[in-house]
Amino acid sequence: MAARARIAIVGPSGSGKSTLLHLMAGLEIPTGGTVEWPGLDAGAADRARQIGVVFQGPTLVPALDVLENASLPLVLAGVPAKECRSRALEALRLVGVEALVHQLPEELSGGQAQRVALARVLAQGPHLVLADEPTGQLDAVAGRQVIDELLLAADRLGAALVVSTHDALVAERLDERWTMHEGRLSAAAEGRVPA
Amino acid sequence: MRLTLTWTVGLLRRRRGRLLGVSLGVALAVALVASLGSFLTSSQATMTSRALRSVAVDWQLQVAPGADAAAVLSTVRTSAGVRTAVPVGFGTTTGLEASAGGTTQTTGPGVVLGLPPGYAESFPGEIRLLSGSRSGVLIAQQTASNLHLRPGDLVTIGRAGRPPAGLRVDGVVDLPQADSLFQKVGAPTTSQPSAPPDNVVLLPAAVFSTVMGTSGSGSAVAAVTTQIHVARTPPASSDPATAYVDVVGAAHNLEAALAGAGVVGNNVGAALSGARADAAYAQMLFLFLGLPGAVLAALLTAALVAGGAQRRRDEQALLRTRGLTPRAVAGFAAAEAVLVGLMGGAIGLALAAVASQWAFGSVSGGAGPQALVTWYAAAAALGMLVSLAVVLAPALRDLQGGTVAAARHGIGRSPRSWWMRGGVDVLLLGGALLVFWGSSRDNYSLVLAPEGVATISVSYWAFLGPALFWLGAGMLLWRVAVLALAHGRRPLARAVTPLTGRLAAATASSMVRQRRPITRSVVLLALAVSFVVSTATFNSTYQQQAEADAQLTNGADVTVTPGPGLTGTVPTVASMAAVGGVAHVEPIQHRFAYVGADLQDLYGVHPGSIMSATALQDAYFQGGTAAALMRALAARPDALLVSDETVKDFQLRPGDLINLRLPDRVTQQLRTVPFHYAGIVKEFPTAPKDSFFVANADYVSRVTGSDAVGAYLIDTRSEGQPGVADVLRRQWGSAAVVTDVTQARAQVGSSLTSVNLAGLTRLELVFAVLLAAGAGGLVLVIGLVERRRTLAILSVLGARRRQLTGLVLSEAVVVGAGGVLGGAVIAWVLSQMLVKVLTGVFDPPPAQVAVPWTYLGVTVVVVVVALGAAAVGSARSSTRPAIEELRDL
Repeated sequence: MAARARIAIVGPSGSGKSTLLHLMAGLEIPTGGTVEWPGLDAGAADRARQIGVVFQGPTLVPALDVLENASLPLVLAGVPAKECRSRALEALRLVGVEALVHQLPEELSGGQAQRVALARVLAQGPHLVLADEPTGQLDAVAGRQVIDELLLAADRLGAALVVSTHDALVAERLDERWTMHEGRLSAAAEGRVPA
Repeated sequence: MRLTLTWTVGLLRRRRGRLLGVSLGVALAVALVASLGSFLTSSQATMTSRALRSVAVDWQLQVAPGADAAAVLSTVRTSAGVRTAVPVGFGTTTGLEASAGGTTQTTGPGVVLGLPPGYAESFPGEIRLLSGSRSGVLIAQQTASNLHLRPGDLVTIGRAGRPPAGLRVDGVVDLPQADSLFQKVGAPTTSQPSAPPDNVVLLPAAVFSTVMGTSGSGSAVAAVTTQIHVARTPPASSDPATAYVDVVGAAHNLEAALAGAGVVGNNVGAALSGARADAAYAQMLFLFLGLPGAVLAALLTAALVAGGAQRRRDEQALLRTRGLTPRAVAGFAAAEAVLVGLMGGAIGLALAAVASQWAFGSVSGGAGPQALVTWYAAAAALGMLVSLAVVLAPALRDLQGGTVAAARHGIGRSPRSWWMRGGVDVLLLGGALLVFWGSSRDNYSLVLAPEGVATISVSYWAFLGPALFWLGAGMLLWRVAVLALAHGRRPLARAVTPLTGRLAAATASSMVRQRRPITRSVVLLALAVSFVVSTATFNSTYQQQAEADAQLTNGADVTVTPGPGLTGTVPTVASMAAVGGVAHVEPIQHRFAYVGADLQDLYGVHPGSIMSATALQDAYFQGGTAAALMRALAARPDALLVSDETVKDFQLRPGDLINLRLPDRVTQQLRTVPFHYAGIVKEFPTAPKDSFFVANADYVSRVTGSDAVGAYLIDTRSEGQPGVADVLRRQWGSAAVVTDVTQARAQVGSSLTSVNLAGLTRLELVFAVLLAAGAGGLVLVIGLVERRRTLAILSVLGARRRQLTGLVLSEAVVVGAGGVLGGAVIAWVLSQMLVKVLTGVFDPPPAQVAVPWTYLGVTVVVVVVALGAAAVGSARSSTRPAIEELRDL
């Protein structure tokens, strides 16, 4: 896919949307074939830094506060502590949750938690953002806010954005649509089908 | 009902791990109580049988002056429980005389006993043959020594108002129970003679009648009395307290039947009285050493259950949303509690049986079938109670009062506990100090056996001290751990950097916020470690003192006591020292000396070398340590150690002159020898429980012209004593009595020491290690779900396995270090308190506690391994991709 692509992977539950996303992120190992990103760095660790994943459901470390959670990928990448802090704070500001920096995940609403997860991705500065059902556990209002932040963030980063969703309203806001059916990408109603 | 059954079957199929974990916690509590309880019952039975065996004559019934002895004998023989009853005559002699080697020896007044035929067979413990024949005219050992008598010699018995009677000696005997044999039956303790008579002759009844003039020919010698010596059938109860009440009641019953014609000297009652006190101490050992273990096991189980509490709450919430009533949900929780109780009970009882077989050599631990069933049932009931308390009660509490707000206080922001705000930990520790100080003023008298009261009571007040301390110290450790974690983020991050690398700061933050569950783990481990260490230290100190007691009784590892009046070739010190396994041979003198009119034993020792042969404890002396007083004997050869009673009788002050009269070898007469009072000796190897002297052997030899050896104390470095004793017996033949410390261990004063403490120790220490390992390992498994989530999130964010393992290991290190250090400090104080409070158990009291470093080292290793294994296991608990874990969690 091209940089700045905006792709929705749609399909019924169990069709393999999440699995496809996880394969793209390198979080699952394919049983056959390879996943190649010619435009990204070759090493697995380097590639992991360039691909940011927003998961479905709560994925914040319960015992770390918002700032620490947002800094985690940077910490793991070996970024100096001061820089981790400043980049995480900036990312939190961008998604509008900077006031919650010292809160714990259990004190956040679902939408707030998902925005912190988004800030965690932004802080990394990835080239590719993969979002797996980011609004799956949120109400309509919170879900819309999250998608707004997601699109804005991808624009700021100049990153490609792939969102797996079964929500048609979410899919509409993206440029391309890939359809999954029983584990296969089938012809899209609109947009290109990957080679 | 069907739903409950379905739910229960579902638990068995899907939550096996959780059920098994909780059941194991219950099983530990059940196993500890069952095995210790059955051991306690068998110990009491052991004490009772030992008390019964220790008494040569169960009752000594004194026939009242003027009463018909034959009628009394007839009444006694028909009394219930009497197996054997024989009359024994007690007469007095004005003195004894014997001539040997051209000199004549005389003694002061003495006692003559008239024994019926078969007496020695009926009461084998009363007379011990040393030389010659067991029947006929027998002379007590001390008397034979005073008169230089041997079998075949002539002894003249002085008779008041009649010419002396001459008899030929048939045998020399020892009277092991002379104190009770010559007691003043019916007299209070304060009126009893301080020592048995020094001069004793034992005659066959017919000879006694002739000599003492009771056969009808001529006038009777004054002061001839009759006792009926009785052997009883053993009491029905194996509990010493119950047996005591039975025999005392039977004695009173007999006295009532005799209507004043006789008074019962209840020797077996006295022995059972001591045993019932020892049994009470055994109960206390069970309480002190067993109950905390059961409490710990219950706490462990509760912690395990708490670890799965969130999942339970989720399940309960799901069931409620599906329409189940709170009552039905409570029924599910009750079913789970009962299932855990049954599983834990079954596993625990099986564990108890295996543990008892290993520790005591039998499944029952020595208890009878009824006692075994009772204890096992009680333990199973306890297990069910624990299960209901830790599984059902929290579930009911959640059903009734759980709120969203309360549920949100999971991590980090919990309010301070009420007990921390109220300083309950400080109050408990203050209470412990007060109780401990208060009970010290009563000399820690835990067992109260008032005079004239058949039943005894146990003062549980003193237990409060250690119990309050244990609780208070645990709470204080909680407070300290919480504070340390709350304010120790930076040092913690620095400390865990080697394990976690880049994740150090996040790891420290995580631990700070999870300080409550981590502190719970630290305190649980500390309580387990303190239980292990204090139990092991107490047991080790007990073994140390039991060994000291056995050494005190026997004298040394092996003791050779030559018979009186030996001639011919006898083994030398060199030949004995050459025996394999012998490290040192120390001769000591045993003489008799008069101070005033009082005859006492005198032991001549070589102060510079005596401590190489036997352990002299500071508790044996007063006015200085053992080493200091031996130095005093060496520095001033005429120094003398005396008993406290002698000091009081003669108003002695250190350095005072005290003249003793000792037999001179050349003149065979008593000569006055000056000594100077140097200190008090309360106990000494081979010495009687009576007043005696300890002096410098070289000085005694010089002033008496005799270096005759009374006994050889042989050190074998506490190994192979029976083997060495056998070799020495072959060397000496019948010329000496050879005893070793293993025989003394079976005979020492306290029946508590006859209890199979080795087995109890093995049992408790194994359980203690299991509890410590469980507290260390299982606590890391607690909250596994939360940790799995954290590990999965970190993994998908790019953390390496080494970093994840480091995160869990860091927690293990903090828990381990805090738990072991905290536990060690608590244990040190607790051990000192336990040894002080249970001082009545020790004989002699310990000067210091004995720390079993090897066992403690093994325990620390086990805890570290358990922590490490649990940490690594937690970190690697799933082989699935992290993303799948995250999805499921």
